[in-house]
Amino acid sequence: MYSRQWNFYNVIVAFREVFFVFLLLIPIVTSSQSLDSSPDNDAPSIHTGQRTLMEQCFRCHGDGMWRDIKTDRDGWLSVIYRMVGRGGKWTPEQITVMADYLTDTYPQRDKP
Amino acid sequence: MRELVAGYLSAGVSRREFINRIVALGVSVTSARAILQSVSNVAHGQELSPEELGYRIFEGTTGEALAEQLIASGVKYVFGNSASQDASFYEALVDRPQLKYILTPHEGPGAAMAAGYIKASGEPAIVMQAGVVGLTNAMGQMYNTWKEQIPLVFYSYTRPGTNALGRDAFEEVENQDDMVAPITKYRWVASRADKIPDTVRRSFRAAWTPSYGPSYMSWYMDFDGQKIRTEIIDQDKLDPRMRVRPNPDEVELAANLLVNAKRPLMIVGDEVYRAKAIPKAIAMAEQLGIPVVQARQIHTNFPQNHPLWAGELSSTDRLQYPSSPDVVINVGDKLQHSGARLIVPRNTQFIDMRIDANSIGRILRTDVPLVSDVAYGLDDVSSAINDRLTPSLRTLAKNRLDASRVNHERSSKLSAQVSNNPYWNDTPMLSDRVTYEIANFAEKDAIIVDDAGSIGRAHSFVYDPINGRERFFYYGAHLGTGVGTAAGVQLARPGRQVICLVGDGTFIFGPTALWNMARLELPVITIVYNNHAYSGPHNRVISQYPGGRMAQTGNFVHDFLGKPDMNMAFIAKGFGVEAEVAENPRQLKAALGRARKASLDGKPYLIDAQVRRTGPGWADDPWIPEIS
Repeated sequence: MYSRQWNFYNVIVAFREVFFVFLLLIPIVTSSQSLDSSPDNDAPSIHTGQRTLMEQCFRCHGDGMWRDIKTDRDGWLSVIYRMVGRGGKWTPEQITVMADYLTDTYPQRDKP
Repeated sequence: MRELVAGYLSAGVSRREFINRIVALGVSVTSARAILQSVSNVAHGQELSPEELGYRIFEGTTGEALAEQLIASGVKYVFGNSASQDASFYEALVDRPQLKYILTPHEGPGAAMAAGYIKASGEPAIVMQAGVVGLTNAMGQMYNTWKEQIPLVFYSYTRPGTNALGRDAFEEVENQDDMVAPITKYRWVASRADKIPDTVRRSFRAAWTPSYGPSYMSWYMDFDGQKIRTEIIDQDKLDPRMRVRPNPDEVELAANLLVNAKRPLMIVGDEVYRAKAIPKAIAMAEQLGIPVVQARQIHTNFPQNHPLWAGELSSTDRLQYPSSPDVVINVGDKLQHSGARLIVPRNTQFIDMRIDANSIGRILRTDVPLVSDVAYGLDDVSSAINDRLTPSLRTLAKNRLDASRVNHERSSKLSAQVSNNPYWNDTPMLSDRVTYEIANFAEKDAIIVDDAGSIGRAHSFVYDPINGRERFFYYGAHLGTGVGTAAGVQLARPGRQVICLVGDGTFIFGPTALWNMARLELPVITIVYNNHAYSGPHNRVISQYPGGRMAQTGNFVHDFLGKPDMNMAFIAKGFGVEAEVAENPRQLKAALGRARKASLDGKPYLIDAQVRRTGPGWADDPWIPEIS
């Protein structure tokens, strides 16, 4: 009985983790599709930025931490450098592509 | 007579015969029996006086007995808030100057101060409160000491007296000691006045026997002032001295795993600091070139300037370096699991060395448990590794050390990019700029008490608890801790520069220890990162509702502390601490200079550093909820 409960628990945990990853990927796939349709889009750079974000940021948290930030490039650079101070070991090149991607995907809007 | 005594001691003369022959010499039977007892004591080595044996009989008031037992238990400082039912104890303190009472104007920061003193000194202390009303104020910090495994003894009396229990008396809560049950190692209410010293001894014994933790003691208020006859016993005579060596068979297994590992990793924790075993941890890491990390702890347990230091740990499978370790040894880290993700995954071979046996195997699959004092454990495992070292292993260790040095230097270089932030020189300041300036300002052996939460993060500091700066972080997270902790640390470490980093949110929960700093001339420099908001809850709440109504409207009910803005410098001045507000980097540098001068004069100082709010959705003029 104990063993069956344990196995069932493992299944639940595994399912939850797969589902969580799926949720994380939704906005990336969605934003990627919308960006691909933009005539000003620099596709290779954006794709690199996406990949870098997924590799670097999602180690510790999902995109819910920053998806509601709408700011300009300096604002996004400030967010990234803040994370450098909290354990993000990123090269200048990685920082550039992440800032490019975030600036294009989550641009500045009027503050509420 | 000499022959008679010799005959008795050699068992050639019986007790009866001994007494009969003494009486025959003209001595009374009673005196003969006393002589016999005296001779027996000498024979059994009991010629030592009670004082020499570490105990004595004491007659006096309960307050005097409490004071005498605290002294015998090694206590120097009593932290307390005034309690009207402890009168005989206060009376006893007048003629016992070796027991120093520190009056704290709130029980929470008072307990934080006591805990800070213990963390920094390793010496016992007690914190006292008035009945249940004071106890409930202290319980936030009691929770912190429970989580952080700090051996602080709490005391408060129980209302009412024994003749009126259970009548819903003033300030009475039935079974008040039950309230502390989940957050203490031990709790006890003395059943008789003469049992007070016994209760004190057992409370200290429980708190100071590893794994450490708080204890709570109490007795009924009508015991106060009663005349009692009781024992006072040196605490040393009751200490089980749990300096345990690990199981030798397990040591061999651990050594085999480590020498055969392809990508070993060492996690260090607070047991290393408390056992004064940091040099031993360094030695073992260097033996095999093992990179070292640390999950969240109070202390820094490995020099961060050492090439094998690889940084903070959330989970070993998230590490960039070393990636995918195959064998992990934990040395004294409590390994707080805050989610379902395991710090050490199931598929990693795991060695767990801790005196906290209760924690081993509770969460993580453990291949080799090493229940021990980590100083002994490191000695024994290092010795076993040494027996297995071959020239090829030494080469491998050197190669790992070289690789780790490259990673270490690269990490340091990348972390320094924090100052590339486009808002680096802005007003209000980036919290990272404030931290950077403090790191440049702090003395080489400064102690940083870090209660700054998500806003501070001491990224610009490199801690070296042996030869450089030390950090006292927090693990429990009950707010209002930092200022009290810093006061206690400074009390324990006079002559060292102590800098307290606090966010405005936690500061406002517990500023009263500033008054203690001023009164006792504890020259702590307190920096408040004041963004007039709860930044951590702001960001974490929004992350749970991305795109939600809060983010759409900018209406956040739970996080903005402005309108009116709190001025922490005014608060400090009210407690007798010189203070000022710094709004930009230039003002901050100047303020730090004045803080240094004040601290050199033995005075505390506070800087209210105005920092910008970060995170999604902040307006320049944040909305606040209306009530009508």
